[in-house]
Amino acid sequence: MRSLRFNHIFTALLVLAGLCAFALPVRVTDFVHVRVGILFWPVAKPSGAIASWAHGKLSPQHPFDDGAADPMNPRSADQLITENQELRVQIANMSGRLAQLERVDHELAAVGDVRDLCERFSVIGGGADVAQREGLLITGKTFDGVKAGQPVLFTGVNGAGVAGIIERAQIGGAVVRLITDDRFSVRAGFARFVPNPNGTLEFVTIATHQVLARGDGRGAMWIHNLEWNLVNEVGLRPDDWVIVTDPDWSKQLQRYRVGKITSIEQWSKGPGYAEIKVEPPQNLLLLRDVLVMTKGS
Amino acid sequence: MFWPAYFILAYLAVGIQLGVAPVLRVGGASPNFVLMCVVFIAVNAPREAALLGCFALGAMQDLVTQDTLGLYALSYGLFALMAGGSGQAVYRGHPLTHFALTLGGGLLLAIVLLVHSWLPYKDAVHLSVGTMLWSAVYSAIWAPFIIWPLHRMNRSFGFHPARRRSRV
Repeated sequence: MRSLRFNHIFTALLVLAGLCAFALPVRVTDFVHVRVGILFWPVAKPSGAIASWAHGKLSPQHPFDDGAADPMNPRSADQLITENQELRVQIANMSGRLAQLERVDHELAAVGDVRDLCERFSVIGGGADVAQREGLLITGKTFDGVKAGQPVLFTGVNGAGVAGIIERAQIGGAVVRLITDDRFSVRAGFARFVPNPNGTLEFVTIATHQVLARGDGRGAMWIHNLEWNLVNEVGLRPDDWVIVTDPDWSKQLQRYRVGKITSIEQWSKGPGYAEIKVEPPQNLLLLRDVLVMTKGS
Repeated sequence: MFWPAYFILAYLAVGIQLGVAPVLRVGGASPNFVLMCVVFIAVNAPREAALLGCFALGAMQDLVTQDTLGLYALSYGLFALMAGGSGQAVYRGHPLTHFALTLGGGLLLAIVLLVHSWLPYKDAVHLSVGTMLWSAVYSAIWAPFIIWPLHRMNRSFGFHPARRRSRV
């Protein structure tokens, strides 16, 4: 009799789980899908830190220097300090010019250092999905001003970039959908650093039409809608930057780095088109903290 | 079953899944440590405790994934229905048992996730069969290394309480 009652209860639980998974709309299940990731912080954070440390020891991340003649051989500290000083001068100059432009156009008042608009949050873990889904659980909560749709950025040894967007934000934390998640898409363009005759570097955008970069769930994004002829015409090559040019994204993030091109080939499934692989400057699943753009997005 | 030990195991499994699994990602798939615990519980615990324990593990994992609520709970619940109480028919401590059952559980989970991702009325990310199969195999490869030490500790879980001796 007891077993019969238990079987009924268990069957009811299975049916409820099946209904949640297959029948009920996501907005209904989301209501009870309270993110409790933060509860697992005491285990997830130290175990993740140990695993990342071990991973770093076994396959250390090699710094990548866009400005060097050979990007895999970073420049010396002296060269970097010199470039830093020059960049400071350039920024000061541009800030002055922007201040003038702001008076003309109020929209430009929003331009500034994106990081001032962001809040830094710790990563609890990389999401417990078993395959293809690439996301992060972060400590940012609705109380901290984190909302669904806000862009998430990162900084690291290889520079900054876009990590993804907030997919869900709740009282227990938030879920970031990474740009490398399967089917994540963003409209993008291309850019590269070009050395000037005076020795400084200039960041120039490459003249192509807007392309669509899509995540593959395996740590990379792919672009399939750029003509092969155009690739050759503009001289697109590996290590060029892929940048956000998506009007649906906030103004402050336009031309922000998505990743760099790691391979360009003719697309076997689409004659006349190129297949471009784009990878973020570092493995986004191993980020330990992120910047959420809580203001101005 | 000694439920406090179960909850500690579940807590550690989900925490480690969050923290460590992304570092071990290969070919788009991470080892599923929670599934390994499900296999351990399903093989060793009495049937009712196994069913409830596996379902609850799935529900806990559901709370920290990007997918819809209920997918993991349903998968692990179904797996426990099939494998629960199989402890008497299989050699519980053998690594091959751990490999085969984790592979089976991984395949069942893959089927549930794939069906869900292919439903036209669900706005879900379309998963690929190859990656999901690889995910099941990858977890199965890891399983003996995780379940075997757990098996050595199975007394702590009180799966088989000592029978009371009564004087006649």
